[in-house]
Amino acid sequence: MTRRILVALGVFFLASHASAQSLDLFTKTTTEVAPGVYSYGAFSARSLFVVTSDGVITTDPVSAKNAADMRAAIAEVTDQPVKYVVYSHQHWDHVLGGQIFKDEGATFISHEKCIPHFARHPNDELVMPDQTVTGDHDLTLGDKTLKLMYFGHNHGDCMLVMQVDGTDVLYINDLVTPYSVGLGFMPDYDPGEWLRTLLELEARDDWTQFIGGHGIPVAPKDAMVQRRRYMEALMAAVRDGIESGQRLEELYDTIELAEEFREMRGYKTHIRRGAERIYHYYTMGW
Amino acid sequence: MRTLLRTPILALSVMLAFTACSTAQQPASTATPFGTLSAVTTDLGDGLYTVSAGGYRTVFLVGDNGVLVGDPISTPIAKQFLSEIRKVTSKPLLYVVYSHNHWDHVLGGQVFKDEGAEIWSHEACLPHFYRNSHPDLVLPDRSYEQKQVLDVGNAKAELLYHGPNHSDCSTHLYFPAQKIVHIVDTVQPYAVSGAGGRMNDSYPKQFVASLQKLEDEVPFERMVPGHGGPIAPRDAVTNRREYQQGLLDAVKAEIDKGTPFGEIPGAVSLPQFKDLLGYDQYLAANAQRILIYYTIGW
Repeated sequence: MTRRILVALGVFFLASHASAQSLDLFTKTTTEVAPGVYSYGAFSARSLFVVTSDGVITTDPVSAKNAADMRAAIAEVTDQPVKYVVYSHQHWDHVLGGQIFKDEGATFISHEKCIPHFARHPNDELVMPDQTVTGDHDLTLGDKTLKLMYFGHNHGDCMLVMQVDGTDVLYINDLVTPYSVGLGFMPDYDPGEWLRTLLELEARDDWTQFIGGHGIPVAPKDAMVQRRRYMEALMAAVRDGIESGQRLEELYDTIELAEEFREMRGYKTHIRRGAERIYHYYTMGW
Repeated sequence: MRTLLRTPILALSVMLAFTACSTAQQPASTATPFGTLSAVTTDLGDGLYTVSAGGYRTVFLVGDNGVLVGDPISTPIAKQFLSEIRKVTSKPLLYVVYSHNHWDHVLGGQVFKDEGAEIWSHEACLPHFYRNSHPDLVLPDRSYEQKQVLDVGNAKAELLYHGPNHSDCSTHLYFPAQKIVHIVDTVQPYAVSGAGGRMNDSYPKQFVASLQKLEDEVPFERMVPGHGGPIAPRDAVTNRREYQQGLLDAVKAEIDKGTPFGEIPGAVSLPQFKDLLGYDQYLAANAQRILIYYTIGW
């Protein structure tokens, strides 16, 4: 069932992103974004892998099929074994299918707050983490260090942002899908904390581009700024609506942001639901 | 850092759904679709009362030593509730029990705290309260993990935790002498989930397990909800559990059948539940939430 769901989710994304830009959802590519640092995947899902002098660190396996494809892509650039798999966060559309890496002896790592989610929502295709981190952690293998950074509750509560030390590229998974409004209504989002996370990331001057969990191989920092400004605009519009006495249904029907945001992928499909999520954030405190 | 809204919220989210259809539950004089604006108290026997105002409902239990009360809702409504309690007894307020973490139920606790009450919630509410504070939210003084009995003097309430459902920190407040359980938002009798059912922070699958546990372990005969009419039979809980399971099964069946992702919410049909409040308006939204659950495991 999982594969069908992932394909379905991809189609949903496609349907949701009816913009002028054409998208290839499923053709997976490998892009070297810094020496030994690769962005692998397609619009449907994207992962980071890092080739060191003593083996490979990869991130989300996504699904058994994707993991097999990614394993082949890794083999095209190195003969080294995969030593670590680091989960970006707990959502099934990123973390399933890691068994192929387990079989070659990889150690699986996630933030510790992913564990209760995995325990509560068991899935046969999920390889449970062998190790957890509680906050920022340097994962050193051979000549490279992958910095795991925790910014709190944003897109769920166990998201790790990653950066190979010495490079100017962040792996931020679902925190930003470049030039897209994203699925703004997911239940475990904390909009305020998410905004804070983006602002903290933007304030750092040690990176200039990022890899998201979906979308193009690598995007400039501007794409994060755009998404953060979209979130601010959406939250301000909902606040204004509430303060002027609008009820949820009215907001839902009338919400509209400035032209620059209407050009983002997924705007038409997701703006109303995004507004509903923000409405609940402001009125129910979650 | 977020800026907090101070706008008074009357009746939100979950029950916002039923503006058009829940009047049937109410007396003819009802001022709002979910209840009276001014407070109305109903005596449920042996010291247990339920009081409704502004579309919200709570309970209070009067014992020899004092009073236990449920959600304060908001500062103005808590004041209305307090004056209703004072019509029944002048005894001190001993305990407040928050039903869950959502602001539309738990603000205004200071009104009761000023009367001396100690505030309780399930422990899993605390991280929510820490992360999303509100000037009108009084943090609980005490929390519990699985079960806590509070005695107000020859009258007892049991705070029971049956796992995640509408939120991950819902307390089922059980009154054993009356065989009545107070369930807030997880079960709104004979209604589907409202607008919040689309994307609430609910736990779709554990929702079923939680209600099943309540039904298996607690010999309640009736329930008092957090909105609407004062009391419903035990069957209302069973009905809500079966609706939830029906939703899970129906969405899963569409996925397995290969129905395109975007079409699944509209494709789901549960004719056996067509008479539930909000069915026509919110079935697709409820199915959407289940679809997200099956897609990302949340």
